[in-house]
Amino acid sequence: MSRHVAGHALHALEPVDELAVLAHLERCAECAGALRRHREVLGVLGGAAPDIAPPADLRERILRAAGGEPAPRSIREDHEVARPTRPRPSRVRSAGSGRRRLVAGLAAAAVAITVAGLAGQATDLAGQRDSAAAQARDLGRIVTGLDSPGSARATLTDGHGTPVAAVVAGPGSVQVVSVDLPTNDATHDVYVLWGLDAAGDPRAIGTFDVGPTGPEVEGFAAMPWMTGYAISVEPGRTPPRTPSQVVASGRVVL
Amino acid sequence: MLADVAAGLPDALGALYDRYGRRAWSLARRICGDDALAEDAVQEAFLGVWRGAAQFDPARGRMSTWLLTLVHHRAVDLVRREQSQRRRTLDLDEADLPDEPAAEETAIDAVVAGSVRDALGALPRDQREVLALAYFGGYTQREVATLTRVPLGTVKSRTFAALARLRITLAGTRLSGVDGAGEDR
Repeated sequence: MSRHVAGHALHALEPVDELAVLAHLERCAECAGALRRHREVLGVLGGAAPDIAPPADLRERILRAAGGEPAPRSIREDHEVARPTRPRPSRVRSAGSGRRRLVAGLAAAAVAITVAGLAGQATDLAGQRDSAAAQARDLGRIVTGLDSPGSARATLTDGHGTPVAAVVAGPGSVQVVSVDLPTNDATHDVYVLWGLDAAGDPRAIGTFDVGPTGPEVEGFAAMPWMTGYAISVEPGRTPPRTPSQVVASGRVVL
Repeated sequence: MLADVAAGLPDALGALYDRYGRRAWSLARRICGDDALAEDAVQEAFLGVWRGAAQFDPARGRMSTWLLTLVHHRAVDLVRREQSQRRRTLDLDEADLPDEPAAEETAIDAVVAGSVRDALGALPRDQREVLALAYFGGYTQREVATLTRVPLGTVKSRTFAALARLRITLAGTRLSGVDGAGEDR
């Protein structure tokens, strides 16, 4: 693990390895100390980059941006887990190539939902049909959210590199759509969506379950400036401080 | 200073920028190779400190180390996101060492930078290469393995060895930040 810690200090690990290191650091004081020492060395290395004067207006730009934000948050506020909220509709604009692939995948999932809805009709299970229709609407929103100006997205892949979920983070909410996550038993465990902050530390964003009916969308209040997202499965219904079993992860792409 | 930032005092962030802004910019500019990306990286790093100052734990390191870590990570994220042609065609020799100091570099900073360059230069070339590609080039270790055509495990071992050796060398030069008293703690 010590070699992984060095890679983590360099911000040079693949997402799955990075989350494994983060989980390990929580329970290993020796490696946490090694990380601190690596960062000291890298701080000196970074401080020795060729000296260049910054743009004259950068200071003002930063102060202006900070002035538009609420005062720094307390620790308690920062560790609160968001309650689920409904995803909000977003404006559509042209798609990039990466987005097209994800949109295509989600569109295929939407077709599957429609089929599921029809199956529900055939069996005259009104509840299933309504549920499928609601999922289709939510999925439509997240697909359009992929192309909203200012939104960030992440495709979360499993340990084999297979995409299993996607996250879209907008100004007011973050939405996760589970495309290929196994159904969980809500009486025993729960999925947890994590955000990785700028320092690489995981923040629990919210919990959700995956049922047997196919792709599902869950929305949460946004946490700003996440560099990546991950999903773990945890025993019980409450997120731990750090993820224990990461099943998917991915970096943010704007 | 950090307590004032944590308290949300308007002048505190400005004072923090006055002290570390130039260093932050130099690092971001070195990694990004692009003014616009570097500006975003520095701004977001300072805003990260602004937002997270109340949570900063001095036992985990210096504030300046934290700030430069934020600058580095954010710059690397932006470069990866940008898929910059410059970075993707970066010559391995170019990634080896930081450039020579600029003419306006202060005398003290030049000494520090010179010592760090000397310490980097004292590393075996294979260790220096993997460290520079990851830290200044922003490549993941898997990408470094591909670029240098060595197994991923070897890249990890060389990186670990490089950091350990640098630490010993830099501690010997008594540069602030390695085994010194923490002025920002």
